Amino acid sequence: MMDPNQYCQPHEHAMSRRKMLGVIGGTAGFGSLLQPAVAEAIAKKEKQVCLIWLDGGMSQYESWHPLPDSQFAGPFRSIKTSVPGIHFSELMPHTAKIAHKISVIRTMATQDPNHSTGVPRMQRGDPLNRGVDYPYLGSAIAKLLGPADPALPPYIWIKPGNGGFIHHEAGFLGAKYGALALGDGRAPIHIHRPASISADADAARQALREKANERFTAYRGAAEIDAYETSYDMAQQLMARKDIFDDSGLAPRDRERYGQHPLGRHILRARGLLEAGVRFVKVSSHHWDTHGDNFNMSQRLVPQIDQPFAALVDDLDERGMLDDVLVIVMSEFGRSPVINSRLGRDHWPDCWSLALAGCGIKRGAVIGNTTADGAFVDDEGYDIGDLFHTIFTVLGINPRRAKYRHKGQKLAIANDECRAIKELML
Amino acid sequence: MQRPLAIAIMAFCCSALTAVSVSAGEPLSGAIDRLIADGADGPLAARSDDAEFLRRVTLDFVGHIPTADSVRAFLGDSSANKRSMLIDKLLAADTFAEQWANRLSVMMLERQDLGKVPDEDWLKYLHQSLQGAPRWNEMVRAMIAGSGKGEERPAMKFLGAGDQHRLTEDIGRLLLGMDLECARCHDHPSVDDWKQAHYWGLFAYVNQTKLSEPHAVDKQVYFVESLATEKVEFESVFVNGKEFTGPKLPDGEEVPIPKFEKGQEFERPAADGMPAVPKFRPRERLADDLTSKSNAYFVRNSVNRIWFLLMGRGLSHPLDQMHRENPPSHPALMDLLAEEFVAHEFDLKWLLREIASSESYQRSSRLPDGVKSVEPSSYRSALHRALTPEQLLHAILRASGNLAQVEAVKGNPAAGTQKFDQRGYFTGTNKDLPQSLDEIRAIFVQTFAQPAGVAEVDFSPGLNKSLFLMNDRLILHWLEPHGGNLVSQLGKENAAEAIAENLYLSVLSRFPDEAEQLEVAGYLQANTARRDAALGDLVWALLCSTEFRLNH
Amino acid sequence: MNTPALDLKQAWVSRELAHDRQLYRAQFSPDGRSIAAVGQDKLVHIWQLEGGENKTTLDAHRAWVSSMAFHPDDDLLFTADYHGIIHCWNYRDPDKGPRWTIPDADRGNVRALAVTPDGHHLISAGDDRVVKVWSTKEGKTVAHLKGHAECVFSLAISPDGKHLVSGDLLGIIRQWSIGDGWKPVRELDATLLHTRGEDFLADVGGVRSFAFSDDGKLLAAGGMKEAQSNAFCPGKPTVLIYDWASGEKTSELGINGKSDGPFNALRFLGDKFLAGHTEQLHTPSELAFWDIDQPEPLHSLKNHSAYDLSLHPDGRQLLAPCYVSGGSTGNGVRDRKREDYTPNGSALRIFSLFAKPENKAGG
Repeated sequence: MMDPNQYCQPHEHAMSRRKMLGVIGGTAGFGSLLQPAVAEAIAKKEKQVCLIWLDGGMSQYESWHPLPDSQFAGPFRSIKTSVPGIHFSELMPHTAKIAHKISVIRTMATQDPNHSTGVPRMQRGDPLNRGVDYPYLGSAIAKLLGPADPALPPYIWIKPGNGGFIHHEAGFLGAKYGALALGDGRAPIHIHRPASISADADAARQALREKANERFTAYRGAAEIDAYETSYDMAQQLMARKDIFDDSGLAPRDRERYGQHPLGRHILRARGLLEAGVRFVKVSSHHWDTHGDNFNMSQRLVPQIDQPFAALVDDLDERGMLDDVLVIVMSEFGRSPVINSRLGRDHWPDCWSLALAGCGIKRGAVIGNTTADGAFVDDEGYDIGDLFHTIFTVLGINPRRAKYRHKGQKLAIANDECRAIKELML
Repeated sequence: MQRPLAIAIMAFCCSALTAVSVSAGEPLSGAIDRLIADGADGPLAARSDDAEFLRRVTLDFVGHIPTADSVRAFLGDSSANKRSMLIDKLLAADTFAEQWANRLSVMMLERQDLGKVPDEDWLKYLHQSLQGAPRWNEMVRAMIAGSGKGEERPAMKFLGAGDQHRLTEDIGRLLLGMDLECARCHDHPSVDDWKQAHYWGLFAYVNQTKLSEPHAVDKQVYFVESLATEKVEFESVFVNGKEFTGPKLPDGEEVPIPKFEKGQEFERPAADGMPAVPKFRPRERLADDLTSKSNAYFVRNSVNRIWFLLMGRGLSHPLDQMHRENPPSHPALMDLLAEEFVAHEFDLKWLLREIASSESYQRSSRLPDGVKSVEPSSYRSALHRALTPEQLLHAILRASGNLAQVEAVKGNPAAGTQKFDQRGYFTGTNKDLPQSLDEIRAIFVQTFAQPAGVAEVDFSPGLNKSLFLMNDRLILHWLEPHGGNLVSQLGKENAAEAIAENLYLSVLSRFPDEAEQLEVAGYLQANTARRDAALGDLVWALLCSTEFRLNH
Repeated sequence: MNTPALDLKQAWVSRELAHDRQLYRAQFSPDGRSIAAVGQDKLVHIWQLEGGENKTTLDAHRAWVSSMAFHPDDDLLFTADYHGIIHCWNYRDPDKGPRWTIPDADRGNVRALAVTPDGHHLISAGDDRVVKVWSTKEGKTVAHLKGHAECVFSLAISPDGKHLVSGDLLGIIRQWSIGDGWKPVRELDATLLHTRGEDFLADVGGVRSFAFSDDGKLLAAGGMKEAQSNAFCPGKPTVLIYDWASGEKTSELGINGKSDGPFNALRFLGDKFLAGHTEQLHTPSELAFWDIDQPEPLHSLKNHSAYDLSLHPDGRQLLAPCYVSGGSTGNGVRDRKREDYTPNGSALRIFSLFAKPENKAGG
């Protein structure tokens, strides 16, 4: 386990922005500034995370926990998976074949039945209330582990719609730990420096800007100033590594395997960013909240995660990355066993499923006993806080000893009353 | 049964009045300072210097940065009351109406373009309303009543396309300080004060409202109301049991739905393609009920938002979370502003003047000596606020000296009639530059504004926005010397000192200090072979500085 | 028997049969003496309407039963399910299993069934996009009608028995000739009933229901327009009316009240009166009656979501399988006890389309 003192990482203090600027325009990251042995040691340890967020609540009955004989079952069949005795919905044929590489929790039991409050709570690990806005998982990892490659933003978010820099996810950690969002997975449009400005000229004008900001920052403590400066730092870093968006080398077969639909393309893009060394990649998909027409919709939606998720796990495995990359597929809750008047399912935090694969996670473990009809947890169930303890643990962070420091207080990084899920970890 | 919130507030107001009412002769601005100082948990920042004040108040009131000449003039003016005279001058300027039309439009519509009123007409209408002595309650009344007739027609843009649920939520958030979205299906899950009955009581005012077909004669569409005969029915998804309500504001009286004899319900029969006009028109009623002096929610929300627009943070913050578990940072001040706004008949310019005249507004944004940080809600130092996208555009154009050129393009027939391909500009397929102010503004709005439907409250810097300022062709074009712009002017100067002074006055609206002068001189010295480009760098660096980006 | 005059504005629920699971299709038998209903519990339920509610079940399906059709003359009932299986039953003989079974009528859900008026052919269509024709005698393949680009939701046969229409998710209606090579005749545009917003993950809507006027001059197609999302899938319930001869869309009908689901079922009552039922989330939906010359219903009844409409051979009674809340609907279990958490049920409601007789008690 990491010594909590290691949270004062070189990338935070010792390396000033000037030094960072010194490598902009070159191809080297931090590695070139460190002793080879140290660089190697750091490279060995780098863990990464890919969180696939299906916003709205994917139905567990139509995916991870089908139970076709339940009185709450939908109309779809269940199919055998590569794990003896375990079945998934027939809507997940690809993932069924690689079930032995992943693990599933079927008894998530959480507190929040609403989206607006539930989404932030789940993505924050629902910590105990300390009067601050806790960071979302990506921002938390960006802070606790820092960038895996110092030249790359530690937290990149691939989402539909517009991109930008989403800093509210960082909560009390500060805007610096927010997410660089890529709209539709596209590189930010202005990532190319115009031909009229040479690299040297760019460096020179940036230096002038930096100096002006240094003068301005004196005697001012506002968060807005920090956030603005950070956005320029990140802009420059990203320009220096714009190769990570270059998918001209992708095999057509890869595009087929992941699917041409947005979630497929975005998960393939995520693979590229993970390969390039981005610490935390979140891929989000929206409109899974099927209160109406749940069965027609599930029929079309669930395959959209099934296909690329299986491809990603296989590809990470093939590249020898599965031991160091943690992949999570989840929503803010599941869907109600009781079917409503629009042939839909409503929200169900009481007993739902999510899947994990990779770093420190058992292969082929499906844990959690529900009642026979799948509606309720038949044992203790797991809280989102337990999941966060587990995530931090497999990434090499001690969830009890590590603390955030904020305005003089020490704050737990995960819900104090929860614990890591032993049944899930190697 | 709990006491209604409004009564509780009013009771508090009454008791507060005796303690903190404006004492005879004390202007509101003085009371503001007294109450802010009372609540301060540490030393206050010093007063802003003239340059800081000039830039701030000019941006706030007319949406511009001052010209280099105005800076020189203001700093050189030795009259004792120059600040209050400046405030008066700005309030009377036509550009005040233009800027505040834009700010109020963004606040009320959140950049959505719904319904049948063109944006142009709506902005022109707001502009007109803001000249003279605009009264906020009257402005809001016109927006809700939405008569669609005559000069007031554009006011109905607030009603959008007549989506009744959206309208209910917008009225809640923007006019009452209540984010009621979650209360549609059940009592609000985390705010005890907000009930499902509040949502549906508001909804019952607008559920007869819809857009008509075009009038047979004037071809316009209007908002019409159909006949209201029953209360609105609602049921919680959590609690079985139907409930009913007529039109009712939070803690207001429920409006009884009158029963007419058959054949007597209508005031005017159907004609010209317009449906019959019922005698009972709840939305018209809402226009009065909502904007009434006794509607504490409306009054408090109004003063809170006006305060926010000048001070950078609502007394109640976030702006749509006005409830007892989120009390204002300065409750007595909130009560006082509400009381005085009503006493002055919702006179918008009066309130703005009073706030701007206070020391709290005029405080520097530099921290007090020895202090490392202050709570934003204390107002011990002025807050740093983002320039709006429109302000940023105008500031960049003025600062870089390209404003005149761009404004000349508007109305120039040679500017072309083909619509500029904005999407192509951002994906790289359109290699042209936008020419007119409208086209350029659209580029800036797309880059810097919040998405449509999202409130523009917080500063949200982004990597994409910084990349834009770094690499966008248009920005770089403005930094090349042409048309008498700043870079071309600076190119004609020889003395580094004059260059530094013109540069800082034009861009940052202040004189450079010695270190800054030396830096300019040194930079030019090191770049004699590329002098124009170096001048461009100097301008660019200041345009992209935090000092420029923020209103401070 | 005295046939009361049709009076839609006086329609009332004259009978109700409760069931503890949701039923999605319900029809009167051709002789009007029985009702068949199918849905979530995988069973085929048969109620005798006279002589004290005699009820039987037919048990062979292993999935939700999604469609059904009666044979016009013989005592045969065809039922199909989500796993692509069609069973043919003699419904008066419940102890015997199906007469015959098509085990692979579709690779997925068989969403619609229809029987030609001459009783020779059974038509099925669903997920695999192919309209299939089978012999009613033995369930043998007669024809495969290809052309739909998406799943087919609905089928109907013109009153003269000469044409078949099929409606799909994308809002395309295809017309085919019955017999004589089963050829495609033309396409009608109902794309208004389909929505795919830019950020949608899936297509929403579709042609969910059909009805021909008795004289065959008009075709009504039901669904919803302007869906707002593929999550809640709320839209504006809409009926499109086509002039059959020209194929032109002549009008668009809507509802009076609040409902955000599609028209699942339509039935003409004669040549110019139409009944339709929509669905709505949690709160009551609407059974609407139109004089099709007016876009707004001439009368509506508030009624929870219903998924089918069947007209009694006497033309005076409409049967609808309606949603009934079991009290457990909604987000999360909340304060309920686990043992009280039960599925929602149905009520098969018979709407009598005439004034309620003065001396009749209950109803």
